[in-house]
Amino acid sequence: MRSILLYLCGLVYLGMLPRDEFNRRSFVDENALMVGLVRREFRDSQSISDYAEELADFGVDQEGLMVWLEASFSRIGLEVYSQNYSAVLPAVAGPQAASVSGRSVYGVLRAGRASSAESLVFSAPSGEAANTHGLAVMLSLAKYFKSKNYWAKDIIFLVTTGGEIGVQAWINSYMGNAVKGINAGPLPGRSGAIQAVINLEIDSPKIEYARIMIEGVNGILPNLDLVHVLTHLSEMEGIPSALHMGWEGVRSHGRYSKPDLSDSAHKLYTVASLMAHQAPGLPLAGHAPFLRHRIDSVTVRGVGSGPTAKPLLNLARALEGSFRSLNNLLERLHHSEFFYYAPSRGRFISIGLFMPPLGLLLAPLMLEGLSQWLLARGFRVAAAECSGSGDSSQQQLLHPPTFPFHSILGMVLPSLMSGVLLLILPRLAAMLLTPLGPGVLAAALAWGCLLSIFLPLFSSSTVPASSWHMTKCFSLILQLLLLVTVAMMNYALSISLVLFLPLPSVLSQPSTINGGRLGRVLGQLFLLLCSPPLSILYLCCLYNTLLASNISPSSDIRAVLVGGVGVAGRGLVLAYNSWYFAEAWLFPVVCVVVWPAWLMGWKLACQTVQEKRREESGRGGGKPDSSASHLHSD
Amino acid sequence: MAARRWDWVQLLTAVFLHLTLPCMCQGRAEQSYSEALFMKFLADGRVSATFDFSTVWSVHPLLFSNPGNVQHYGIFPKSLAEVVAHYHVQELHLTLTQGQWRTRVWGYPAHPAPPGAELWAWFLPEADSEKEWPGLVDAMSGLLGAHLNAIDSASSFQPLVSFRPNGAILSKDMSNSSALLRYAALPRETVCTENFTPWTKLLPCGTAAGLGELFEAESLYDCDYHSLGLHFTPHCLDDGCGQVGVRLSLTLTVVFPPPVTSNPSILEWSLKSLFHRPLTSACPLAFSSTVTVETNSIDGVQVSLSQTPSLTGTVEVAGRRRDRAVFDLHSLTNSTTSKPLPPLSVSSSSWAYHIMPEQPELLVSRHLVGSGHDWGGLATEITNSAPHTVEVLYLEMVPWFFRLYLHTLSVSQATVLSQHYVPAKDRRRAHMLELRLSLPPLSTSYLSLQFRRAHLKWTEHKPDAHHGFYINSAVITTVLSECPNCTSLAAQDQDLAVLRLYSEPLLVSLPTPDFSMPYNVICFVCTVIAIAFGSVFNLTTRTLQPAAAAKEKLLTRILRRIGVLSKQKSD
Repeated sequence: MRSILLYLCGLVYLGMLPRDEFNRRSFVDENALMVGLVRREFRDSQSISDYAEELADFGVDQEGLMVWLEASFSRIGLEVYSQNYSAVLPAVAGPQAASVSGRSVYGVLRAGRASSAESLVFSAPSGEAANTHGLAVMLSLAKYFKSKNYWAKDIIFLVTTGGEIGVQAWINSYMGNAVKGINAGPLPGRSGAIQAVINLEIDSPKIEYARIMIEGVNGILPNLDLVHVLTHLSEMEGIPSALHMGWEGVRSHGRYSKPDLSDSAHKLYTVASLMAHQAPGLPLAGHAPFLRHRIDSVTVRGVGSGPTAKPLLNLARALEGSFRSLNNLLERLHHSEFFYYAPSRGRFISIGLFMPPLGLLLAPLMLEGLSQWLLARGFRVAAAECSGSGDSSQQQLLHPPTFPFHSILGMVLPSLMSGVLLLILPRLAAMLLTPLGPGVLAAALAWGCLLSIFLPLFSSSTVPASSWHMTKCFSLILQLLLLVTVAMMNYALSISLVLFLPLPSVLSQPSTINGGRLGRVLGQLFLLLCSPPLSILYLCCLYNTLLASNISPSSDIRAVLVGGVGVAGRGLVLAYNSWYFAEAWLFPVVCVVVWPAWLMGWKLACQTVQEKRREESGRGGGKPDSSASHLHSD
Repeated sequence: MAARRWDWVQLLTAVFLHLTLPCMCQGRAEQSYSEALFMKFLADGRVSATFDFSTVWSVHPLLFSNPGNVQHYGIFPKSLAEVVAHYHVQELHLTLTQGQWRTRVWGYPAHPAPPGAELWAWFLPEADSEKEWPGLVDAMSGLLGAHLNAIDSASSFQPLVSFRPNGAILSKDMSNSSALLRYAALPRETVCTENFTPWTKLLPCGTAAGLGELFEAESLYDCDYHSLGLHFTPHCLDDGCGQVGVRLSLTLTVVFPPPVTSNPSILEWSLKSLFHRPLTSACPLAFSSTVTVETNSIDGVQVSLSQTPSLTGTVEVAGRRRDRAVFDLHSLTNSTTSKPLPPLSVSSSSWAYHIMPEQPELLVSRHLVGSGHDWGGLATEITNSAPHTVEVLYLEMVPWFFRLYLHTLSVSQATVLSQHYVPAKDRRRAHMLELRLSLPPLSTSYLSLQFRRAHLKWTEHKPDAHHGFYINSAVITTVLSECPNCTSLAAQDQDLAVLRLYSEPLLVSLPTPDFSMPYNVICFVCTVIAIAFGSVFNLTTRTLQPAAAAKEKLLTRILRRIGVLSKQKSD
């Protein structure tokens, strides 16, 4: 009961964090940025619309577009280079082809007063999603930047095709890291160390607000200062900015309007949305691959074309100001936070504030682990209570711990092997069938999962109680360590695991030979319902229904489930591909860390514990009932 | 009476002048000074201006090194002469550069220089270079207001073959040893007017007359490349090098942005529009004072001059004709006495950005490999697009806190003819790797070398610690038989020109501590350990024995406190 209480406290604490009383106002910590100090002088809205008109002619002709871009960049006076790449996707979702190839074009604006030791990247993807207006803004800013001589860092204008794989190919070649699976051509021209990246995606000639996307591969975030520069400058230019559907954005954008939500609910909603995008750690926007190399980067996405929309000139001016601020940097961005959540514009929750709730959420694992340790050493609650009441005849004796190595190994090794099996199964499936579709991928994984779940059911063994307690203690502490480790790297992933993983393992009880059959089956059912595959499905349904707003919450459960399964399928393919190309950990972490952690609990729940009478009587002074049932009767 | 006294004064003055002038004139007769400005369009429409102010003095360098031997310095800057004499310098080269020379587009530089500061010197054979070098560095930083005193033993190098003396060789012993050589570069050094003003003070006419009139700091620094140079060398006075003097060459290279006009295909510049100053006179102390304009630098682009040049000529460079127009300032100023020179303006037609120049034969580019704070690598690309094999020297200088692993050195395409490696010593000496490479014709060679980053002591980080640390530009040295892409005014003069190409300097980040956090972290960690770890450790390791005491045990109280035990009602 205490565990559940602590856990609930943790959840409530977490839910309170987005409220203004619990977090801080954001501010620019790096003084060198001097945000908004210079007068923004870009006024050439004509050139934006001219470029947009020319770009619109190309439609889906990517190669023609690239040739035109090369010519435009060199007409502006940049050094123009291009890179070819090709890749074979291990898995595909839908009718998409498995082999991808394309060309990235980039122009380098050399800073006259510097030695090309540092550079900034202005990128705009071209391809699946139309980014005509983003490219138009980029080109007209390139033309304007070229006419100025105040640059202290080179600026690379990068246009990639083929989504994140194109960006991945480019940045990996730039960093000299070859990625298996991507065959990237050499980069003919380079600049120095990249200090910051701004990725621009706009698909309409007017925008209502700028959505700023920050989540990188493996949940890495850019420095808060960079985010602040962009939000602050776009506010100054009269364009509201929002992190995801931050509530200002939601309010200004009719389609997503949720007028029934209160202010604090909106903030909670924004943080939940941020976490939902951060937790998978997959490259969801063009800036994400840069963060993998510790380069601060953000995506600015212009959204909306409603009646209150502003022309692109305002956003271009905001970008001009941002580049000039970044140009001022003496050092890499390092002053402000790297771990944060922003509940609304101008406020942030720092790591010092959001770690304590996680501690509360994980405390049950720790305490339960400790109590299992004591139980394994023969600690009995009844005896303690008696001795407390002054009965000296009922002394308790903690014997030194004995480690049931074979039991622990018998739990850990098969679980890990099952995880490794999950990791390998898609590859085995790929030998028979390429490319893998979401269905095949899911089937391969499900087969592995079911095998691992059913084996302990049929080979359930009977173990002594002390050995069971010690094994459970070990599994709980191991789970705790895994979750804390994940939290250090990707807090949101850890939180979404904490929602499902710890409670069932904490509450699971062994069944004795004599009885508790019902309790055991209920416990197993609870565990099964919280198993990683189902948890992923719940999270996908939640995401699809509440955050992605594809389905109205009022629709029936079937639509919700179908939507969730669709998201899960696409997510699975993305996770599998990103593991190959972007070194995203999600797939291996779920297979080798989360799944074995759950499976250990499952194995324990399937075991039958020997009646303790004989064992206890050997030690003397034991009550006939099982100590475990006493403890858990709580 | 007064008038007569005045006569006496005049007479005395005349006699004094008569007595002293000959020796002054003699001193001056041994010195000759020339100033030249060479302007040309670069392939991307930029305009390069190369100033060369050189003074030749027929004093033997060994005599020169003893201040007692020289009484009158004439037009030779005394401040520099004293430094050279005091530290027994035979040759001295200092460049201060802002920006990177883009060889790929601009061709070879007239005066190659790496970004930042570069100082190298050969000392006279009898000098103790170990002792003289720090003094020379300090004196030069004082002379030009540069931050050269950051050079220490850990950033000084003695390349074996890459930096041979440029001038006349005084003794044969030094030709195969680099004991008398010191080289240092500071890639982070910024160049500004505080360096430029002392540099102009070394010119005989300063900024008062001659080409110096053009110097206005604002226009000279608002450009795409700016490089100041000071080169002091022993100089052969005749063909057989029977007589040796000294030569001081002060150079300035500036690259201006393309002088675009309202018509995008026409570029037009004049000295006034580029320098924001008119040119009104020639330096009277100079025996030659010229402005040379190359009129066919970009193929297919017509260049027209607003004024008739004093002399036109064609230089044959690698089978390609280069037309040059020379304006002699002395004759121009004589013809239009006391009036400013008619503004020279140059315009070119049919110009477009996308005319890509023919790439120079030899190109070098270097970049950093790897992300993260542990391993990294240097990757260098050397392109030889000549149809014959080229032999080059490759010099890499890496600070000691990058731990180079020589076994990771891999060279593709090129053949390593010889290798000279000096390993680093922590805090005292940097790594130096010098390779003699043979580049096959029409090839691109790749060199790569891995390093690990060392951890610096926290006091060793410079201000702006998160900026990162620089690795000097790599230096490629070769001897060119012909120089088709040279920017130089007189490439044909220097038979077998020594060509140096500098790669980009690299900015590498090292693991940097958070300088403000240690205290907070220590407090926090200690508190956590004291509270959490202590009690858990106690709980899990203690083995309890039955005792007679009837009191509730400490253990159960702790357990009760932290909630592991339920408070069951004792019935």
